[in-house]
Amino acid sequence: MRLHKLILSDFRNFFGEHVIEFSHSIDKPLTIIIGSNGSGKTTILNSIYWIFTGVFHKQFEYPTALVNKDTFEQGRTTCFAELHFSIDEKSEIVIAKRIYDQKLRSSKLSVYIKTPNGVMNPLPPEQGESFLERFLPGNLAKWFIFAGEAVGEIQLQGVRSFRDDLQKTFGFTAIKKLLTLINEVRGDFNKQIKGSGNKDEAFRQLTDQIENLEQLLKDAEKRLDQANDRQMILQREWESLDSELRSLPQARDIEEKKKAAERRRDQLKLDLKPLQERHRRLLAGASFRLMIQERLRSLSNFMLVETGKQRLPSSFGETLLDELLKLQSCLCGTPLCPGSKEALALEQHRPKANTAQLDLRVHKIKDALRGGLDLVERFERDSEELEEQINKYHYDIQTQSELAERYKKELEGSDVDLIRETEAKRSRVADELRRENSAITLENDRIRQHKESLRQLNLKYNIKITESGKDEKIYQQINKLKKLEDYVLERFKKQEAEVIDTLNSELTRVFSTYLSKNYSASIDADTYAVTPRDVDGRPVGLSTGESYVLKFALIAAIVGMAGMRTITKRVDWISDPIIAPLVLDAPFSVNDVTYRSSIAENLVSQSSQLIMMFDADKWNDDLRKRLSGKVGRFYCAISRAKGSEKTVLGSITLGGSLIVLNEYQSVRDDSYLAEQEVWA
Amino acid sequence: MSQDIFSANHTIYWPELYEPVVNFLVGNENSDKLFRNNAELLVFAASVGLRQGVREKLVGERKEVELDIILRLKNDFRDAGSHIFIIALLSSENIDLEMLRGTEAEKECIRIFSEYVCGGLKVISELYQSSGPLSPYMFVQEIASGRSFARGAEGNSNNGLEEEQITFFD
Repeated sequence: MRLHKLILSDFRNFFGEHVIEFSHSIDKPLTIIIGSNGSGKTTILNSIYWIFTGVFHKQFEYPTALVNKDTFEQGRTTCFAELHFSIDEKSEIVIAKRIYDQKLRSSKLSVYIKTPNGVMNPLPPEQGESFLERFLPGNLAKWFIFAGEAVGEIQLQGVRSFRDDLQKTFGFTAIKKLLTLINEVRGDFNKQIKGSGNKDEAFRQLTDQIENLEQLLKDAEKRLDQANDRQMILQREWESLDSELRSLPQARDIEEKKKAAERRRDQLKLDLKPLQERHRRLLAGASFRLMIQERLRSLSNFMLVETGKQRLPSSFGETLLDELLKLQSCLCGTPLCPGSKEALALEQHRPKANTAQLDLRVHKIKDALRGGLDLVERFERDSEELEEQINKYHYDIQTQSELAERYKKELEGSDVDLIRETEAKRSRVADELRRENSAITLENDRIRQHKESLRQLNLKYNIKITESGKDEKIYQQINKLKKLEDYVLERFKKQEAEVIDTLNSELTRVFSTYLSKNYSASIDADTYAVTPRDVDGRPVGLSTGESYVLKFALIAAIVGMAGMRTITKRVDWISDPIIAPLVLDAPFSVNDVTYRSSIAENLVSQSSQLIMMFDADKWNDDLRKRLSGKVGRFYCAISRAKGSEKTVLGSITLGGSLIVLNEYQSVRDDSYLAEQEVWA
Repeated sequence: MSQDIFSANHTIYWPELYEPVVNFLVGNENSDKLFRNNAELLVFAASVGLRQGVREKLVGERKEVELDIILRLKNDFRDAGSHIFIIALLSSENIDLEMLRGTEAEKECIRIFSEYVCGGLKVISELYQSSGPLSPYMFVQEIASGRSFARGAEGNSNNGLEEEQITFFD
């Protein structure tokens, strides 16, 4: 499809009639419209969208106030937007015109086919919408005519609607309809055979079984689709919650760390206690010796000397006394007769003769002195050792306490309830996801079993038919249809694989051409989910800017594939993909300046026709250089305003000339389009 | 066994007046107290009294500790019974080992020990009242190191004994 011309009459800020001629040559497919905010760019975009679909983009404000206000004040209550387009360069021009009546708040579509000799053949009114639908189905228009901000809404995770839209764009819907039709016709033939009066009970049962199984299979496939959709939604929800949690302080981790620090601190305190007790007992035991240690040393020395001189208290025993009295003779030879004064004198020594206790005391005292002085000698060293250990414990306890305190403060700074709630939610979603995955596995198994059973039954059925010899012609037709179905299915799968492969290549090409990282893209064949990957094949996350590059690349690739303009590979279509121009408003509003020019360049290369509208501040030398040679038409949307001139004026430089985008002291507030000479 | 060095059980008396400082220093192992029972403290107090040369006769209300308890002390206090004799031996300028002989001598040693206990408790009590907030450990450490006395603690009645400056912590 090629857009030729757009005519706006009293449409929004365009008072009177305004015409935009679009460039539609193959080598210069690009039309640029630059204007300030409020100059009418979004209006132009939406007028084209409205013509095709009958509705506006949801971002379009006041969709029921379409008639220019000056026009309305003058008593005219209608406006229109008219689009001239053709399928290709050689075909007839189609003119689609929507007229809006602001009083009635209704619109009317008129479609004409303009013949080469200029005759306008109107289509019946009731055919207008369906006619336009053939060129650009309503639900696909958003892929071709959209504002830049809407790119952000494109979901690449394989949403069912995304996959369906893509398949429609590629014309796969028609193929699927064909397959369904073939199946239905085969079903009709089967019914004929069943109703042909074959009395074979077993045969009837076989046919019933096949029908039942086909129904079961259909139901299972439907359930599988639904389960896949739910899984996608749950997956997105989980990722969103996970992302939310990652942006919040990791309360659970912090709490665990805090508890671990507290546990270590408490254990250290427990371990410290016996050490402190030992320290106390060491001092207690040494204290009464330390007080008088010099005196103890003196005493110890004294006892040592006395021991050496054998001058410790006499060690004669009571036994010796008894022996002497018995012998009646002293050691010195003095007789000790019983009752003699010598014997009595000796008896007087008896109390002191028993030295057992004295010896024991002396012995114990010596022991005590030895042990005590030894303890005193060791005390300083032992005490210092214990103190060092105790200090280390104190230090470690302090460290753990500070750590626990720090984590506590971190927790206080976070909304623990929110985190817990989000964690709980994520956990619930994870459980649901697991259940859904199980259900999907179950359905897949079921489907496999049904298909196998169906295959077996069909085999039996065919044998029975062949054996019976009846309804052979119908059987042959069924067979032919089956072969046709298999062929179409095979070609369709091949085409789909081709499409996926081409999309992969194109997206990877864009990545490698325009991004600084070595990424590739992979598209899931079942869900059409797009996943960027690193050189090792691992999924990666993209920055916002990179993500927009990917989305625009995808759009360009889809459009390019349909129009057989892709650079890496081309698809040999068996279907009729939608080939439509791209009409973009503010595509650069969402993009990093880094990627702006590269996105524009890629879009132009892939599109059969591209109409881009953006603000003056997005226009720069780099963009001009990249698009040079591709621009067929260049317009400036000029805003006119009543009142005096403002100091801030929008402008661009083109071909060395300064073009101002605002005019003042005008009769009315409106806009107009001024075509510019395309630079060399 | 230590009990053999004494021929009979005796009772050591100490003034109830000094109970506050006793409570400050005596407690179980779950507290920060230094001595586990009164007996251990009395052994320490006797050393303090001897070092400072302060012997006091018991006056006023009294508390008591049986000798048996002192003799049954364990670990670093297992020689506490011998220490009673040591205190008695060191109480006079000239060491007379005859003090170790016989039952009467035993009673005399107990008496001397008790007087030094009273004197030592008096010294400790005065230090306790004049000292700042110290833990029981630090308090005893200050005493045992002599720092408490070096700061000019009162009650240094020499009794002919030289005051010793014992410093063993650098």
